[in-house]
Amino acid sequence: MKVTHSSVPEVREPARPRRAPVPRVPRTFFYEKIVPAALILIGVATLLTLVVALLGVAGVIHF
Amino acid sequence: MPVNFLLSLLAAAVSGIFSLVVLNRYRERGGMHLLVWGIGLVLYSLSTLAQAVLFQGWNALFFRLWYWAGAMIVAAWLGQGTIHLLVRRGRIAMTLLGVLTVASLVALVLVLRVPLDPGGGNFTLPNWISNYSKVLPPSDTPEGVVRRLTVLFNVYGTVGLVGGAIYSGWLFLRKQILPNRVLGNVLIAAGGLSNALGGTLARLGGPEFLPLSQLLGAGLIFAGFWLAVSGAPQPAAQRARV
Repeated sequence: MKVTHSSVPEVREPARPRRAPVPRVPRTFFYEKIVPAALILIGVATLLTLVVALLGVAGVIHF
Repeated sequence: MPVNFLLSLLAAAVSGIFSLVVLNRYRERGGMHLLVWGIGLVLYSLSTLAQAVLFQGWNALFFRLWYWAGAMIVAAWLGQGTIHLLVRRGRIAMTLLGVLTVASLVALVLVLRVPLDPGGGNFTLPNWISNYSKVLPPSDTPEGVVRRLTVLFNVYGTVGLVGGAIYSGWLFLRKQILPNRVLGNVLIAAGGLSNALGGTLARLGGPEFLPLSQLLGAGLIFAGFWLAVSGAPQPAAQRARV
């Protein structure tokens, strides 16, 4: 008997659980302007704090 | 009852609850960053609790605990957690953790051995934090090495915690995904900055703000963590079970 492709039982992969769509950042003034500004501000303030702390270690400022 | 006593107690409670949440998450999911953060938050809670105890009067053991856990190493452990989250290549994070562990133990030995001078108005209630630095030897003496080490621990921790949160927040913002993680990281960075500012102000002669900065720091980091882990995308089937 000729074995045809269609007589081979079809093996199905178990269905993977579908992932929920990844939430997108809304295109609002808050996310486009305020949040980046906040990140930059925090970064600059942190750098200044660290510079002051290191000046203390160097003996320029006395703790 | 001094306001700073209450603020210290509140900071201890917030960071204590936060540490339980993080360590419970580590028990359920694993992840070295959660374990290291959990250790950092236990140190946070212990130090602010010791701080509250010191508002009731002098105690050398609690002063040493406060200085070691709080002033010296807590920021470094929190920053180390973020380094574990972000640096996945090779064994860099584990090597840094090894160095931090050894350095923390060396710091503990130094703090246990450092001579303290609480007399002569160096430790006075109600606001002992105003004069805490005079209890320790000056930083230009051999015993004052603990004070110089404190700054180095804090610089490392702040770069790790705040820098890591800013980097993560910026990354999600650039990819335009997961707004909860963007905001969560902004809050974590702000909390880390609050702690760093409070610590630096304390060393520069403005220590009255320290307990407030600690409470703000713990609250902001907790809120940021909560926001960042909530709303994470899950498989649809798993969501259906919840």
